[in-house]
Amino acid sequence: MSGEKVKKIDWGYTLIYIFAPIVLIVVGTFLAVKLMPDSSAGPFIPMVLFLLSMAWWLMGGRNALKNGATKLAKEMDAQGLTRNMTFNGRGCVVVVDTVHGKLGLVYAWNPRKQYIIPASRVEKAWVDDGRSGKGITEGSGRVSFLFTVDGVKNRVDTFASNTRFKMNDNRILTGISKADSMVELINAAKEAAR
Amino acid sequence: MGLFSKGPKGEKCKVCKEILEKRGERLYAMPGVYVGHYKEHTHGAWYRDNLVPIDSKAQIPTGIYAARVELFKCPRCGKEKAVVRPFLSVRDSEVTEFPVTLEYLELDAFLGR
Ligand SMILES: [Zn+2]
Repeated sequence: MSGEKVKKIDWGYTLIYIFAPIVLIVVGTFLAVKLMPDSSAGPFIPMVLFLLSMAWWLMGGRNALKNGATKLAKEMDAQGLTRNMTFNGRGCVVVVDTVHGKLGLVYAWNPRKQYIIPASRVEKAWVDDGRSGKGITEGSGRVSFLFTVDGVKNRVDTFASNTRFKMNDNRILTGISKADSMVELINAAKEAAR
Repeated sequence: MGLFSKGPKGEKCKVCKEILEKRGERLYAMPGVYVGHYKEHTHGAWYRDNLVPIDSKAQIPTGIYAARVELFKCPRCGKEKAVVRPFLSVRDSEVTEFPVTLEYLELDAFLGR
């Protein structure tokens, strides 16, 4: 498990996640028209299927990542690892063990796979405060921490918004603090893995 | 600021309306309180159990909350209070939270008396 290359996207899962509801709507509608052409419920079937699909797209991914993270936590506990910090990002969940020098990873687009890797496989970790503009226009709408594993870049947002805020805004500062501490912990885990 | 300087904006004693004297200020870290997990506490005992005195902001670990605690005393009736000012130190800035006032039994609990 720990020697395996980290895969951020499981294409099979991703395609099923995106297209399964569309197939369901098409097939469901077709069957409804074919099997009960005179039923008054007919027109409602595509609508119900569409709403179900929306719910799936809105919540299914989030749930899958959450389940993946729960499995990862259980697996790490079973291996006797220490979960010093868990960061629940939108695209991935990062668990840091600074005692044994391990990193736990689950990705939103590959939620069925849990990675537990030695932190020594992280080459670099840093913070991107998203700062742009000068003077009064200076600000950010996104703060993240980044790290590379086997040369592959991972970006995890600690703050994201479609509005820009000043660099001294509490939301930006809180995001920077979260990112700073994650980088510090990842580096501590790297140190422990040596 | 001197040891007996006036309270913030000349804050007055609730009992006798005299302006409070500031008797001291101390810096503490809140080791169990991580960024994103700050919650206001109103009980002195919580602060007694969770604040660790430190000498400077440099000693606050990254992503950990800290607090400045100011002690006030009324020069006339002797009533005391403490104002806890929690904050998160981020690089060269601070995210401040609402101050919490500890008086009477809560102050006694905080000071462990
Ligand atoms: Zn008084």
